[in-house]
Amino acid sequence: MIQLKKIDKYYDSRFQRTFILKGVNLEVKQGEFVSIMGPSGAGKSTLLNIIGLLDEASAGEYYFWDEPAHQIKEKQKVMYHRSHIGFIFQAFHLIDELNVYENIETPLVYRGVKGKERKALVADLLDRFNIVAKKDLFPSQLSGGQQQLVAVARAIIGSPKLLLADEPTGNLHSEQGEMIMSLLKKLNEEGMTIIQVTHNEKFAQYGTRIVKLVDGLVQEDYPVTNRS
Amino acid sequence: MLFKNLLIGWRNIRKNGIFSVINILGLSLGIAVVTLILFWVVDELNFDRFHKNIDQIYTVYEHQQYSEGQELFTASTPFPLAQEFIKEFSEVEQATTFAYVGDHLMRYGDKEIKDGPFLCVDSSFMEVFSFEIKEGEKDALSAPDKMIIDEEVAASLFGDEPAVGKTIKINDGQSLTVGAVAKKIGKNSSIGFKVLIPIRFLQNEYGVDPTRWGNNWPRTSLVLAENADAEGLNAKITNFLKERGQDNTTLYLFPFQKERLHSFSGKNNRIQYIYQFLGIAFIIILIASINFINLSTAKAEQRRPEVGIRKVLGANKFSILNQFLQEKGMMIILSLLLSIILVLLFIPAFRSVSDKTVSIGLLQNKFMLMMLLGVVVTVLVLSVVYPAVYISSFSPAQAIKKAHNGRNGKLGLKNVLVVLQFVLSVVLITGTLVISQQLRFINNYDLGYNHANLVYLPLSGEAKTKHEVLKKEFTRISGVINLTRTDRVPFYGGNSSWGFEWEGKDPENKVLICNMQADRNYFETLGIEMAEGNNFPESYEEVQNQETLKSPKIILNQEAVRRMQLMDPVGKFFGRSGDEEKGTIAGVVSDFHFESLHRGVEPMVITPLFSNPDYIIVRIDPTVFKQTIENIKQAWAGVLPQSVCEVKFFDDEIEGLYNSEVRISGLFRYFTFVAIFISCIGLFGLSLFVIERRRKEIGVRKVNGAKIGEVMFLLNKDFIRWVIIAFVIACPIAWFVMHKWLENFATKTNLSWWIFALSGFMALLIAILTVSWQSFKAATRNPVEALRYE
Repeated sequence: MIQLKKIDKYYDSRFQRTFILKGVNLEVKQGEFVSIMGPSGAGKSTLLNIIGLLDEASAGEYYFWDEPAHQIKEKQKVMYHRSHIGFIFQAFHLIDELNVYENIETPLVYRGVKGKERKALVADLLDRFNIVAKKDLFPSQLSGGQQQLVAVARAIIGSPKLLLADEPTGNLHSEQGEMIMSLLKKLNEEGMTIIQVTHNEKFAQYGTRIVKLVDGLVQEDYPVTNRS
Repeated sequence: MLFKNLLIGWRNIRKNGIFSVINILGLSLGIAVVTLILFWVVDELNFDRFHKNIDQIYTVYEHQQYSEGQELFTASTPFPLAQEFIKEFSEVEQATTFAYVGDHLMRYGDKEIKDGPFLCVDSSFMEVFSFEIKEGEKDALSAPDKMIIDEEVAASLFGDEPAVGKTIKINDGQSLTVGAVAKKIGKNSSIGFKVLIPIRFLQNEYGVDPTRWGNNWPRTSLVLAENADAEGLNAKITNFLKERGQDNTTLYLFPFQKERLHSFSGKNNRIQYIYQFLGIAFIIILIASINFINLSTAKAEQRRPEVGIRKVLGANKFSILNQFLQEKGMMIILSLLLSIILVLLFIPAFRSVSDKTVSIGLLQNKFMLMMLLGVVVTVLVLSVVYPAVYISSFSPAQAIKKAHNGRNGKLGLKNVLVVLQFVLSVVLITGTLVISQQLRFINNYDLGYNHANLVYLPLSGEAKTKHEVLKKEFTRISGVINLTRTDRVPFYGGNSSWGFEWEGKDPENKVLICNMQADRNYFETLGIEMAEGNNFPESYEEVQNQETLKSPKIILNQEAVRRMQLMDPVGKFFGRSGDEEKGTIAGVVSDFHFESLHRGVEPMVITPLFSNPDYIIVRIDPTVFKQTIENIKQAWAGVLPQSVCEVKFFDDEIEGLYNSEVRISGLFRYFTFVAIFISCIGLFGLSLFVIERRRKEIGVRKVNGAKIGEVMFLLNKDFIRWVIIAFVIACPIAWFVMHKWLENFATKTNLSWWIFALSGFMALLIAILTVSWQSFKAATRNPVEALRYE
């Protein structure tokens, strides 16, 4: 479902070329839960952004649902964002001006889902995540864990095929982190493909496979044996 | 969705507190003031439009040419012209002749009032012009003994009783019967009158013969047939008077509807005020929009993550654009609502400052609506579309980067806009300064006579014939230093003529000379110096006692001597062409201004007073001023118990000459103030924002030992640089604009360098004060606070 072939990402400054990613090959199959790990500056987030069509590779080929993503147009990207990909971020990135309900609803609005249907979908999810009581609160009124919970809800409301999480637990303390990770695991078990970037060894174990990235190169790529 | 975005807009407005207030306040204040300016403009453009025939009415103008390029543009025409035009030209459907004759006494029973202006008219006047009648018939003037009065005169003479049919005695002489009562003339009419009387009045009162061609006094207005060729008629009438003996005079038609804003001579065009005001309106809108742009784009930086997220969630460029437009739409709606409230609040003050009867009802005017729509669209385009396009172009990946480093925003455009704001401010400040300077200059201008402590009493009716008794009584009052009798006071125009002969006259030389009668005290009373020769040798009584006026002694002013090209004038003869007895030049007086300073000093001949005077001018001892005025009034009442005593002050009348300029400069000042205020609050917002962004830098500098003063200088430096750049750009613009404006005055102040320096300094001061408020706060903040994050 996702295939990266010899992906390079670099920036040219006046006298030298700085590589962020160099010759990355990676294939992710449907139903996998991949954890990308590595030290700071290894290119993890860049890789995730390229996979999520937020950034473009400088060289190499990238097939997204067998489509050559290095060739697709802006419009098509918007379409993919609407229906195929969900995002979670370290800093949550909820929209401050919108309350919980509205935040979760936003992707549906952009997809053009009718009001009634939206209501039903959001209500379902609020119920499932146990945050019905918080639906009228604004992000600033929530704890970090709750904010990330809302962010997850928002990411999956459109039932995307792929969920991308950029250090989803980075700003959370461990208890909240575990809560979010179990949730991701559960989603994965229900069939969602997930790729996460993490620093945390323990949370990497929630996935099915670990990819270690060092200085823009894939150093290790192995399945998780002892899934927690 | 729209509702949702408006809701988000509202939340944003609340969240951004001070910035929202600045934006909304600036915009609504701007729109409100622009609405008022448009009220003014529309009122000016609608002047005289209430006449039904307005498109067909033309005024006949004379262009008289004299030697040395002296020329006169005047609407004063010969009496028989109107009737002659009707006979001769088929294009002329109707024609009317009318002349202003000032205020006069009216008596009904024991009620007496002095009011005016009186307008001497022929019977077609009310057909040419569409003044409304309240009581009686419109064609009342077709009967020879009828008059028309306005409702105010009717009320003060007859109270609630019907006026039609009652007889009024004018100046204790002839009596006329009220044929109709006209509604009070609105302020939007350039023809104003309180009383209409037949032309015959002129004959009785002033001895004018309305059949003579040589006398140019009344105005002539024509109604042309609907499809008449005005240009063609213009060509036909050009030499009409030349063929009738006035060989230096050509005639022209001028559309009546243009008269308010365009003068026939091309000078003192009021239309320039329209342009100036529209210019200010545009500047205010621009300044308010610049605030909007600067603050929105500044704020947009902070909304980068949100835009990024929305894009990640599937928003495309268009939906982001749409969202921001609708959000800003909320602000515009709020601003519009607030501006309506402001307009309602400002209207009473605006009425008194502008002397216009504007009301909110003017909003129904099509032009007004178009302009306002234009304003709103301009604001929308300038202040909403640009920031929205700017914000929607953020790319998601860079937008959601965790730490967005603070100093790479698009400050380029912001700088340009702030400089533009300052340029406009400096130009406006300079304009205000120059206008005040010019008005002060005019008020303190040496008119060639001393107008302090001078009063005059207009004489009419019985008072005119009793001027000798009045003089005797007034002279007895101790506070009266001096007094004189004359037929002309030095504010209003008067007669002028070119039919004079003098010794050694070049037959080709034609000079238009103003004339005036006065007794020998005139020059001493007004404080006018003799430049050459002597005053009149004979007093009024001596002049009167001569059986015929033999060889009168006359006095010229210096300008007359110069234009006549006369050497050693004293003792040479001077007189009207055709008169048998030639006068002698007794002396020459220094030039003094006897009209408003819009005109320079014209040639003038002063002849001894030989008929009843129209005015007594009195110089009063300033130490007992009030008491003396009282005494004069008592003395008057002793001589003329039935008649009202009017004492008018020279200083008031002189000020009145520049009423229009004073009013307009007053408005100009207010509008400038608003414009500068709006740019100030914008600057305040921007400084708030810029300083907020440099919080960390300030913290680091302070930790490293920067003093408060140093930090403030650092923060103010940019703004000061903008003001200086703006000043350099603004100076030539301001110079050019004000130079143009001053061309309207014959006597004008200098555009000295300090005016520009002062306005630059004021702009700088305003900027520094505005910015320092924030920079001081930032500089005194504990650096730990700023550095605690990260």
